[in-house]
Amino acid sequence: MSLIAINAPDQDVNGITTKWRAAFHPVIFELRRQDQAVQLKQKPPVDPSYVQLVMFGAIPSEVAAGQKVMYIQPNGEIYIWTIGAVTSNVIYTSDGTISGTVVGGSVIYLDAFPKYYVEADIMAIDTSNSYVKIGTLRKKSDVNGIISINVMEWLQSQCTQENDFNYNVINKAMIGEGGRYSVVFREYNSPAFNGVNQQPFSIRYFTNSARQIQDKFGASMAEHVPTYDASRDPQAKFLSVFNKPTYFVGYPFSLNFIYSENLTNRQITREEEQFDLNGGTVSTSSANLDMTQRFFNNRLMIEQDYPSNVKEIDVWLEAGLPKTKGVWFQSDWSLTDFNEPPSPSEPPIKAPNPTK
Amino acid sequence: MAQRITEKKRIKINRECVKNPVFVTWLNTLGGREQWLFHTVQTEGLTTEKEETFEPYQVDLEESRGQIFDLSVFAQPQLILYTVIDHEDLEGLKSIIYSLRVEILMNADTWEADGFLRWQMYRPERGSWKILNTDEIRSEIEITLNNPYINNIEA
Repeated sequence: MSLIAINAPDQDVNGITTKWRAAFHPVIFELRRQDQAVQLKQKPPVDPSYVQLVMFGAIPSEVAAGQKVMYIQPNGEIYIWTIGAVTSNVIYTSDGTISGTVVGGSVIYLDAFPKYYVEADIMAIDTSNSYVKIGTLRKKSDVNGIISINVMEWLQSQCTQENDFNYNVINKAMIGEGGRYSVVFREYNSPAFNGVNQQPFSIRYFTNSARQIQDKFGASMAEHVPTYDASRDPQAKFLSVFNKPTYFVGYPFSLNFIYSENLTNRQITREEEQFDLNGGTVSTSSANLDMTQRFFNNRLMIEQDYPSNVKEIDVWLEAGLPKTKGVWFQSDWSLTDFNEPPSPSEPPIKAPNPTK
Repeated sequence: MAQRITEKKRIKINRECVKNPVFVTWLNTLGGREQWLFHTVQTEGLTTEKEETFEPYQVDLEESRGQIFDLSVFAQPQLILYTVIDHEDLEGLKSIIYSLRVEILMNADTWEADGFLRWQMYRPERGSWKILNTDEIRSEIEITLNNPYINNIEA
């Protein structure tokens, strides 16, 4: 079998999962080892004093009587038994107290593969969707078959401090102020899938940021991740610590925002409402953002060149209906999405460039 | 139908013509970048320290040019910025003090015509800061930035 995802550094916001994390806090993925699939757990009618595990396929030769085996039922219940006897595809445990028949589940041979470990490659993904390995680590599983890895340090290595925005486009992805990454796992000294790349988690995202104690959602950037959700209150925040930033006319100005994967293929617009000294609306405006800059921490420029009676403006982002043609399709290759995730060595799938 | 996906951020527009502008941007802790225009007056300073010296034995006192020879000196220019701000801006502005990257725009007068921005990194001086008195509505802020140090020769 393969590794199964148990826990990811995600945050639920009003029922929508956000995958953005501050890079200067632990970013932990948890997986569970699965050595072999179970066809059936039952008490054999011939002798109900023990439990019988019928496996899919042959049981590895390393498995022997007297060893411990962990059985994980489909509902998550866990049993640890001592193996009484082993045949080609059946394990007889020495514990006969459990009753009932259960279909499915998996086992971990706790003693048969003592040198088992998992190798994880942390892959950064750039704007051209190229995977670049930025680090590798090895972890053994704990007594419950759980492998826990923290990729915080490698994400921090991708954070840069330079201000290299030229303030000449409406929005631009700023590499180094955030980014995308994926983790590829391989099992070693296991019954199967030795050295085979596995990707139980879809692509995740990080920002060059640190959260404070008692911040809502803790180390997750969920507070700042836009989602297409009319009932969400409050909506996502910009990445500014000013309550009301100041635009000094004649000097550069930008706001940072997270252009999240939750807005798949929707046209995002920058909306502005301009106010005079008395708070009355002078005018409003709308402009399309560059969709090719998504999946990153973006800089956003305001319209500028306001008439002299405009004293303050409100700026926000809106998302329209999904675009079905005229734009190239790029998903974030979640295992639940319609596109299959490419392996790190494969280029992503692109639709042909749209004709204008 | 289009739907709002972010907060409505209120931005103030400042059109003041100022003397001695110093435009600063810095990285905040959220992964975003802030900006502020200091103006009117700044104080330029210079600190020298960490000198290494050598004092040779005086063989010929009559011909000697001196007693102590400098081998190296570290020279650190500084720029002290001042501003008076409303308390609603204080939370944002104080983040410059602990930012890992503070940059000053060196071609502030010509950046649009030049077509590029020339930034230079400055480092906020470390220390204790009085930020505000909670019974006031405005605060006077003084921020000391260390310029890039002067590359010096060594004996």
